[in-house]
Amino acid sequence: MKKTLLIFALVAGMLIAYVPQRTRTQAATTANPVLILYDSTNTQYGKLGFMYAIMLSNLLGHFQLKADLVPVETYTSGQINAHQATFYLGALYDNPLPVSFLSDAAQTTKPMVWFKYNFWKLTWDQTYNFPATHGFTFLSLRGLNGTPSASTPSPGFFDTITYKNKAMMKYYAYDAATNTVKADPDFGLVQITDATKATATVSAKNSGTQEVAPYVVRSGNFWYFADLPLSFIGPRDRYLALCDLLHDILGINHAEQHRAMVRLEDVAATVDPNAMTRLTNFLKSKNIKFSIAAIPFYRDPLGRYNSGVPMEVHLAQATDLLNSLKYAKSRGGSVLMHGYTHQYNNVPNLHTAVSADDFEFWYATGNRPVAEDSFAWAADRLSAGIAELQGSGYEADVFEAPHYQASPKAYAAINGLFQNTYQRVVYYTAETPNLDPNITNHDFSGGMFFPYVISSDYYGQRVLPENLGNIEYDICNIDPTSCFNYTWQDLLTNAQYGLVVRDGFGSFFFHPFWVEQDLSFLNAYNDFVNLVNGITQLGYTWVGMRDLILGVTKLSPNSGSKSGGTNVTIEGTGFEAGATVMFGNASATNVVVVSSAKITCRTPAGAPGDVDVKVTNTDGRTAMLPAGYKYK
Amino acid sequence: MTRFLAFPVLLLSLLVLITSGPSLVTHGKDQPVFSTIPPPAKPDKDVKFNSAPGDTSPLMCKGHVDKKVRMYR
Repeated sequence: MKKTLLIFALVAGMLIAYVPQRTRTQAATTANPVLILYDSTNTQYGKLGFMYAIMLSNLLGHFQLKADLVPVETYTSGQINAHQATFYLGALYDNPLPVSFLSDAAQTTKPMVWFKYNFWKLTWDQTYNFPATHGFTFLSLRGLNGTPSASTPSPGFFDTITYKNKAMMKYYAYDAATNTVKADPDFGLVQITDATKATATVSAKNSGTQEVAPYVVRSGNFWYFADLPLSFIGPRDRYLALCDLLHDILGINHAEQHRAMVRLEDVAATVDPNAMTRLTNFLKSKNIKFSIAAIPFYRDPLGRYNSGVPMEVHLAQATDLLNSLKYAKSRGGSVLMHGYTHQYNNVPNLHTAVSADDFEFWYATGNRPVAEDSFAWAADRLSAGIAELQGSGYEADVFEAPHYQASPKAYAAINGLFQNTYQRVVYYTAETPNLDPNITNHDFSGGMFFPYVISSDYYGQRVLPENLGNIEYDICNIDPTSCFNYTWQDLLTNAQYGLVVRDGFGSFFFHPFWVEQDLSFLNAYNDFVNLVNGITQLGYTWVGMRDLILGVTKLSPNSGSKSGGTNVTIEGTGFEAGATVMFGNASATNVVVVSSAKITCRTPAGAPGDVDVKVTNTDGRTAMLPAGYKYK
Repeated sequence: MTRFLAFPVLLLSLLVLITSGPSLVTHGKDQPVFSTIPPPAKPDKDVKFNSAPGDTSPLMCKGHVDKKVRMYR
């Protein structure tokens, strides 16, 4: 009897030990983030999938969603259904896929998105019965229509995606000297077998053969993209279709709304006040708020632009800069910090070692972090810049990385010191990336622009968008490093494409030096005016960067009865639909977000005395007006 | 004899129970079974690609134009 009891207890104990383990496993994934599965087999492109996973996770930051980034090879049964949506990034041809993943992908009723490669493993395996249940199947892989050569540099491929009546041309470049192609032409050709179940929501055209094929196919909760719209992205690229379709995929719709922003770039001690005044006056005449990317500490250690004499000017001594900022601020301008010096040290870091020319937080010459790279090193520089701006009476709460590039450690420091960034961003597959392409399984970097606000990116940054680019002029005969044109018409076309994203911005920047007197032959001022007017005519509404930053400035009235019930108007910036209001520790009632600058609400009851007033947006950001309301 | 065999039989039953569970599509400990479906032909095997993720926009700009003779304040 004792032995029987012992056996029972042992078996029961083993069962108990087994069951809770399964429960714990499920509990660990019930936080319900989004699942991003990526290929990671060790090859020359082994980390490319991780790079795309990072990029996709950034876009989810627009929806206040967190993502679990998981190598698909390690998938365990049930992970798909433990997440609210799953994306599989098929970046590596014929990468091994676990059958548990395939089985779950075929059966899930949650949003499931498959990109590019390896779709055949799901649709050609009769185990999963995919064509019958989903109404479409994989046919074949297509690439270039022929082998490129000097005589036929562009043989064509499925290179044109049409979305919302905009033809989006995929990037393609052929270098005859090295016989190398820069492009991502591979395309998963699929066939819809049951039109009642599957629909081609977006199509693609082969510019060589004129064939048209599905680019995005939807079958209920299941989506298939024929390529990876995170490779070779651009402002007129099918990347914008992904940015827009994510609303439908995730079931989080944002109202059609198009806002525009303009930023005056690289404004440092050497700024021409006349150029700044001219631009400021025009924007003020249009009642357009604008931003100024200011460089607090100007350095020219080699005297590159000062007849060989080294030059350094701190903000406090930069008279022209201070006057320009003051003039702009009183006319709708808002200052952000654009690096500390916007150059690295006393040697050129790609160009001249002069502020605004060179990289600061990335060793561009060697395409790697600088030798001193660390969180502390970057934080020290940033803190010095903040001190200079604040010392001259300017806020230092928004940052833009010089040349849009910093190391992962520097980005971490930026995120620690600034609540907002206003930029494009470069991401890496390691904290100390080795980008040498000759190394097997080397790291990747990927630059991203965003067509909308990202609440939290891979580094944790809140990113305000710049997505149209900037006007450039080919003046090779004057400056051998300024050798390409990017016209105001190019940017305006980009803005037209930006409209395909339902809440897409039209945000660009402009260098004031282009309108200086000795470059007047460029007519850059007219181009700037034409661009601003053109963007306005497209239907964009101009906003300033501070309109996107949550802030509380004023309450009317700012006092009332301790019994509550007083109707109050709150003024500020960055209010979003669904925002909540607290008076001290009590919630206001009847909260109505009238606009991004105005909330009306009714006070709760409170004890006599001052209370803080706090507004919280749905993404968790808060802004507080200390002692903003007095109970009597 | 029956009582002697009870323990291993129960253990064996338990083992069968565990390994036949619906969630266990793995062999061994957390080793996924991979699909064996042959792939379609890979296009452009002979083309030399330079793959680069991310932004291709022309943004490499400088903060100054080198106008040779220039006096800054």
